[in-house]
Amino acid sequence: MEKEFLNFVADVMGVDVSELSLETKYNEYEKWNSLMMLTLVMELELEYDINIPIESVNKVHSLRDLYEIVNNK
Amino acid sequence: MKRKIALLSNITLDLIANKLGTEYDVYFPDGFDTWVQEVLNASSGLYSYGAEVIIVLLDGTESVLWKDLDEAKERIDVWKQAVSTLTDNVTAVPIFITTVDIRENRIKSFEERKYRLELENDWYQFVQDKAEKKNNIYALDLSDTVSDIGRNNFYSGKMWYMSSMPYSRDGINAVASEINRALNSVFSQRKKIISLDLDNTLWGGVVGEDGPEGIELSDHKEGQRFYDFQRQLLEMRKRGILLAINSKNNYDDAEAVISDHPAMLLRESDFVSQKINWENKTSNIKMMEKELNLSENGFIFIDDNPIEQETVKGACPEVTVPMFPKDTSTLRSFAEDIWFDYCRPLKVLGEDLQKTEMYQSEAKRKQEMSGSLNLDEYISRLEIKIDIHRIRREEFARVAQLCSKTNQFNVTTKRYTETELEEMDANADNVIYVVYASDKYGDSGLISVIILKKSEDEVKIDTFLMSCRVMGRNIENVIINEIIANCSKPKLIGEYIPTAKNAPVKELYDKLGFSLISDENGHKLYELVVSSYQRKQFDFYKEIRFEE
Repeated sequence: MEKEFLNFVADVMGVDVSELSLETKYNEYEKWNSLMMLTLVMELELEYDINIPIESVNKVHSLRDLYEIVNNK
Repeated sequence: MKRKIALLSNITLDLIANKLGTEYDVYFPDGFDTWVQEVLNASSGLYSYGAEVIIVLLDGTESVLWKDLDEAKERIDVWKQAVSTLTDNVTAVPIFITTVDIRENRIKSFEERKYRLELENDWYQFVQDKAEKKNNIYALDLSDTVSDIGRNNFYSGKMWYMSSMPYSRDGINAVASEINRALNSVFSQRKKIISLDLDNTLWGGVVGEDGPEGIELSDHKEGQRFYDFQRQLLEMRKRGILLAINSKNNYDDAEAVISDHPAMLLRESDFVSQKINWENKTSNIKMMEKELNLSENGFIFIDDNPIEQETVKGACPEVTVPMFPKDTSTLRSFAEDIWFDYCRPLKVLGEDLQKTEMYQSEAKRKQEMSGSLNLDEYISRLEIKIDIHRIRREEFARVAQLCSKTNQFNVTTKRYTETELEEMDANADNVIYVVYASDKYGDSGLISVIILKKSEDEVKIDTFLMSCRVMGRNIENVIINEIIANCSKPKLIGEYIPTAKNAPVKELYDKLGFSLISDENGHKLYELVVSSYQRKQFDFYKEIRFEE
């Protein structure tokens, strides 16, 4: 599940999955800027058939935060 | 090298620019809603970037905040001023301006006046008015796209609040796709001919088994889906797309429907070629290429049978083979997609309207030719008339179209726009000649363009191109003969710049009697001393007219 999630994120970001972990931080990892956040939210919503409320997006600081949103749908 | 396009908008465009960025080099101004300043500032990045197409994408989301009609009009007036400045400043490259979907505040009683429709219409009138006055302006109907998808799916409040970009994932994709289609109309070679199957494609059922009365084709109820598909094809034909039949049937069965079925919209005269036989469809395509002087990449192949689709894809890789819909109630939009993706031109010219007739007469000429005789005899039998004259006002659009489309008989392949041609013509050192050809089978219209640039003691042939429809009739000899006879300087200079497609004219100037003066990697320069040229007589043409 975790692996699948990271693979999907890597795919959206256009990077190798080995560069990512659940500890990857928003705005610290170069590829993950605000624009990429939007893209990730859009793509995760579609892939996992969920709605990610704006409140949750504002609290995302790492991939782990996103992963938890996806898992607690 | 990627083509350069510029996007101007009142919303954040990064995500759309990213999508377009895979194919294009995209410029957009920094900062949110800075497009008006960018347009008004003559030294802004926009003007120095050198975009080949500019797209002005206006979004009506912010209109929710406009407090009343007066404020709305004020805001739209600013847009109008900016667009007017832009269209005054940029006259040589295409500019697409979107229609706008206004989202006015809905907290209103039934009694209160809503202004959404008035504003949308006012903006549309403004854009359309510009488009009609200037030949490089086009309306891009984004509100139509919004309607197709539906606002609830097209917009996303979350995206707007997070990024000042109001579109959902679907919205972004739809906008990027509409822009891509518009850019394809500018940059991509358009398809020329649609090869059509009959049974289960132009009508439902198999005429050989069901008989003309048994097939599904009518102007109402179930059979209307095929009638509507034919209507779409007919609309394309009226805009210059050629239609041809490529079908395995007994000729008489098919012919009975084509000439007599009351709900058959496409009749014999609508097709440039009818291959109704039991040959394989690939060889029918090859035959059509020969007969009509078209190349494989100009074809679209429509057939409901997946095996036929695969066979053609394999044998003719450059033919476009769209997947035929499983649900034939979607045939109408299937046709629209084909039009948008492969056929839609920026504009339709008078020449395009008669294309089917022109190609039909071309096929008759080929038949004449097949009764083996020499070329001069053939030409004289065709009774060709040639008319060469200086370009006239109403001809610039057609000349620009030929400059953009002609690949094979085009010695320098310079893609001049209508505005560039007008500017060139305004300079007394330049002369643009156009050539018309007709024969006993029909009128080919404006088929060749020659642009001459004079300097002190020579005249250079900057452009010499001819439509492939009339290649092989030695018309180039006649044209050059007249150009030399009317040359005001002692020397005429010819140039050949090689491209992937213009090998047919690689030795044109050698054949016309010019001498080679330089050759750098195939880029050749030629000269001809006018005084030493012996003017030729071409008696086998019925009429040659030259007008200075």
